[in-house]
Amino acid sequence: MALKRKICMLGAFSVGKTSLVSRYVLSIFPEKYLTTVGVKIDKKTVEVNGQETTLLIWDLYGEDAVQQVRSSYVRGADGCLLVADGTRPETLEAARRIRARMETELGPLPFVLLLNKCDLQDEWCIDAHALAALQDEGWSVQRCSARTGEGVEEGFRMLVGNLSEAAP
Amino acid sequence: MNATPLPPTVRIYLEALLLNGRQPAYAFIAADGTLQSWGGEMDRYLKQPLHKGRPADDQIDALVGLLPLEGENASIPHLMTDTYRSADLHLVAEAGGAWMILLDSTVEVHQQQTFQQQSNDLLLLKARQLSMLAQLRAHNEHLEAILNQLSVAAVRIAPDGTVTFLNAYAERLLATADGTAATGRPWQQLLPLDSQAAAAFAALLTAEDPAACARVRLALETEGALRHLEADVRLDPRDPAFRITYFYDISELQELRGRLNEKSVFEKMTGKSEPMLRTFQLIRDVARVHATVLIEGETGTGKELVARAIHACSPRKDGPFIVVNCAGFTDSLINSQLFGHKKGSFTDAVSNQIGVFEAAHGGTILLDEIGDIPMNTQTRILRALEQREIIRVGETEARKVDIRILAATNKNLEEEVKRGNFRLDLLYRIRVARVVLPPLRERREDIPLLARTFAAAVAAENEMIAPVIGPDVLAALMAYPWPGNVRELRNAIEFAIIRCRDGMLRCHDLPPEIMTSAENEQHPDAPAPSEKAQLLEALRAENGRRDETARRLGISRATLYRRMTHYHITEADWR
Ligand SMILES: Nc1nc2c(ncn2[C@@H]2O[C@H](COP(=O)(O)OP(=O)(O)OP(=O)(O)O)[C@@H](O)[C@H]2O)c(=O)[nH]1
Ligand SMILES: [Mg+2]
Repeated sequence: MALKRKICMLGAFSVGKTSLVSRYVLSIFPEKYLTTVGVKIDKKTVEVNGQETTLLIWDLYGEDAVQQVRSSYVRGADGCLLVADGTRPETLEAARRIRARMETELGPLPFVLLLNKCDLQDEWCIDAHALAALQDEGWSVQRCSARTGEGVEEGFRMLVGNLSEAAP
Repeated sequence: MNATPLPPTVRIYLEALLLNGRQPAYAFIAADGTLQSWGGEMDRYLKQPLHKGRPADDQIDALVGLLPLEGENASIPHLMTDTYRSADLHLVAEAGGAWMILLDSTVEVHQQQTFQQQSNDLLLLKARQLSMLAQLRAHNEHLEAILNQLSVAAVRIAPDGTVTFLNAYAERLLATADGTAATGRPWQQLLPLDSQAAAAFAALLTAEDPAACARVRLALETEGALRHLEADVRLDPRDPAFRITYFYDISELQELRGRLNEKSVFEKMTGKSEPMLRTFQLIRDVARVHATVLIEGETGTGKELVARAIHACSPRKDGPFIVVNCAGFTDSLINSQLFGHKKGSFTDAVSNQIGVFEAAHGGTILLDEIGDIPMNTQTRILRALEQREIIRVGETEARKVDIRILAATNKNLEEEVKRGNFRLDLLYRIRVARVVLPPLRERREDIPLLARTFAAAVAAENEMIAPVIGPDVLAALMAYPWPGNVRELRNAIEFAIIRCRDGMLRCHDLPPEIMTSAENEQHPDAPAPSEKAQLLEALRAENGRRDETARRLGISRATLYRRMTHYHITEADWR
């Protein structure tokens, strides 16, 4: 039987968590925004170091000013994809906050930061400098676009790679 | 199948939930992670059949990573299940393993989705407008042209408070009542606010760095409609002494927030208790005809809600619905409120004013506390009902009105007639049809359902996830006599939710009077002990089969469950 790994999609609302899962699992990009309430679990089986692994991808509701993502959803996760919208700088702050909160409540976890919507070049507000700063702080960062598919596989693979290092 | 007996608290809780449409499913997972037994409506949530003795997390994806529980409970609200229902999943640590409970929350998720979607869309719109604006500095000579393209109201205000520019959207949103252009006049004329709101807005306008200030919420009456606006102020990129104010119309959101709870109350009114089911049928029946309806019930039983339901189910549903609370008014005030008045007809009548009978043309009026209406006004109402026309105070000419009248009271109007306080002919006229609402203590089986409905509504209003109501809370709610009826229950839940910290309502979150009552419940007015013995005997005789037991006792299944909950009867008691 394939190994099962739980990974969570976390981030501010409307950053593209659902779209990234949909792109990664089904290779489709839904244009219309339908906000997520609660959580939906999707599955994808991949090979990690020759071992068949089923990723259980928890697509959670996004955070806004009044609603925080509860750590009870993230309990037992093997890793998290933090998603920020590269055209909305405040979503990067939200990602930082969420990571800090989850680590306080659940202990250290593998995190990869996805800077999504990189197809929107004109509105992009994260320059090379900010990116370098994040990496200096020890973040694994991947620019990506759920719309074009650019960087999506890479982002998931980056996290899965981190998982296997931390395998139980 | 159900090989492992449920602990009593879990059982009572599940039975109450079963009764109230939450379709529980439960399973016991041994300490080694294998699935041991399950029951309830599991196939509502899972497509694949379960297998005893196999690891639970191989069969239910949501459990991966969560087992073993190691003594800590876990909960996953609003989990999308295999069958595309939403459910709250709870894991409760027990000696020897863990209980998993699934409870349907599909309706709540749908409601919350609608609300959250609007809220998020609006926030995104605002963010987009503001980022566009940030880019304005580069081509600031086109400021006005750009502002005109925004789908948000933008108003430019000079340092002395004069409005110097409104974009097209603002002209529409803030349309001044007299149709004159607002440009060149002080903002106070454009925005007729009460003094508190005006002060908050003025502070925002004069702030050195308005971008750093929180938005101000304003309620504004424009062309008779009440609009809820959020104001955000920025410096004019061309001249920082000037301010540009953006007004976001959040009326719809506000209304949705309001409807969210009304709707769930109304929907959940189609509850399970016999008296309420009868009431709902009655509402549907009277809604179709034009008759005047008298709605009777104790305070807090939801008379206004019934009136709204009648209106909403009636052919007049697209017309206005107006509630007039008739208590505590003087003769002349209630007369002019209902029928309108001519300027100068009495001291305070400084202008011509239409009354609610005219305002509700084509719709429905609820005269709440009709028992408190003065005699003189009663005569006028009678005339309006019979002639379908009204005369404004101070006028002589009659005006035709097409309205439906509903009346509500918590008094016994026949008594009032005997005492000479109420006209008998008016009583006959309004009591063509009657809806009598039962007090909450006579439909206790609805309490868990109502409690959950209110919890969902209050949570939605506060933009949080609805907390779970613990079995001890449910027991306390069931035991309390509820003199203030459904309204009191709603208030109690609201009180508890605000105090609740961790997604689970507990007894100590409830208002003190309810807890006190729960503690005393066993003593003075506890029902005769023989009833419990009777129940146990019948259960034993029927081997626990609920339908048969209920039939044997001559009570409904719901009543049986209610009494079992009341006496804390569990399987162990009759076995
Ligand atoms: N241009 C562009 N738009 C994207 C991209 N990814 C997502 N979107 C759009 O952004 C909006 C939000 O996407 P979702 O995937 O629903 O966002 P989410 O993070 O799941 O949102 P919540 O569930 O509300 O927290 C949708 O309109 C998507 O079409 C992207 O890579 N490029
Ligand atoms: Mg989503």
